[in-house]
Amino acid sequence: MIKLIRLIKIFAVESLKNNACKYLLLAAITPLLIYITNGIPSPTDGLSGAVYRLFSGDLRQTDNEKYVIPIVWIFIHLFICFISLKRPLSKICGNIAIRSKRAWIYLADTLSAAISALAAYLVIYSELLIISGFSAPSMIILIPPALGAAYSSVLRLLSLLIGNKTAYLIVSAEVIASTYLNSPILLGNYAQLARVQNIAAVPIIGSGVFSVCLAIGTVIFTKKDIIFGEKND
Amino acid sequence: MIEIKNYTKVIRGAAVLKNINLTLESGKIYGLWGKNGSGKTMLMRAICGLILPTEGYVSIDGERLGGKNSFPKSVGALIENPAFLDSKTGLENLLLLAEIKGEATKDDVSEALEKVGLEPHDRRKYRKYSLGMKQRLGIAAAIMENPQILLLDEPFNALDPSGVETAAEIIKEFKEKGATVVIACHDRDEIENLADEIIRLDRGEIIGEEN
Repeated sequence: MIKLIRLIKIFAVESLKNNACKYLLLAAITPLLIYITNGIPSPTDGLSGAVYRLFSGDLRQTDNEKYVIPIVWIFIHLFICFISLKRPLSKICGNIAIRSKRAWIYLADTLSAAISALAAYLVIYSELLIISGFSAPSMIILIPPALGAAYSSVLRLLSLLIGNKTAYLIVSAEVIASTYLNSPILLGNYAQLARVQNIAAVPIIGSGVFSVCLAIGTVIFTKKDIIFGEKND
Repeated sequence: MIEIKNYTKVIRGAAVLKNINLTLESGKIYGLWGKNGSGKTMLMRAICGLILPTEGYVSIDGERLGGKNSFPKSVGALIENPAFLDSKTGLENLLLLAEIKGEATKDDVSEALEKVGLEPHDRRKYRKYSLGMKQRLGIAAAIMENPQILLLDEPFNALDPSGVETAAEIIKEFKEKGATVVIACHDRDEIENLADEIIRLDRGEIIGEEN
């Protein structure tokens, strides 16, 4: 267990370091994103209100209103997915493999991808806190990070099966499609705060998706050859 | 002792290793010899658990690889082109790997670097290394944990004459320490003077063994 924790730490630290520039970029553009979404009405004020505006997604007030592409929501999600996809240690997977247990490699890798995604939300939330001022936060602020972690595990599983680029394309298509289609099978629907009916259920759905992807991925990884580990995990 | 029993590996319908039966003893150097694509690298991957068998098994000191024992407990390997992080120095790369298992100390890492002729405090990043330096770093990574099994795939690639001599000395040192050393080369001359036994491979099959 100590070795697993050590492995998670190494994977997470390397991923965070590798993505440092992207976090800075995210911090730099967050005020612009907030400015763009200022016109969206929010049911609450302070941090929760700002989070709602940024992550509202569906901009229609009624079903009959014209569809408007929620550019900010799509951009943030795809950017955070991109961050979680960049895992420098996958390049040296073969080297790591002979020093660790097979299942632990996948666990550490997936958890570090989730940590990378959560760090991006931390950057955004810190800025929202400064800009919008602090007021007692509601549960609404848990939804985007919970879904972000779930997306990172989906991406990790897909990239194990079909490679990074194709996995990212599939997730991008799902994110974009979910802004137009209001279907419960699309994960993106739960990440759009404007569509969330049951706030308490979403973090549970996120954790469920994360756990299922983690479990499936671990089983597949333990039965998979590490032939091209050095080049492309 | 490494025992490879009826080992067959099929990838995308093609058998890359066919019914391999080998026993590799401690304190010996084994040379795998064969042309490109003969299965030398794949056999090394099989020994260190990176690929899983379609049939047969690999056992190390009586324990089969697979399940709880995904990889051998004490193995150092340089397989094909050594892979490291471009943005780190040689020392940083090895320290990162050493931290995973927690066996090699910073002194062990520095000693391994010095042994292969690299300066531990060289501030150059891995991306600035020459091919020979990359190869030396790969060998250092393989030996830094003082493994009981040392697998070196084309260890003399890109090395200058002094590097070849250094690598040969390291291989002999590990033999004397009682490790099982396996080196793969496509050029028989490179392993003839080093190996106690030469195993010839062709199209994934063992076609000859010589002492």
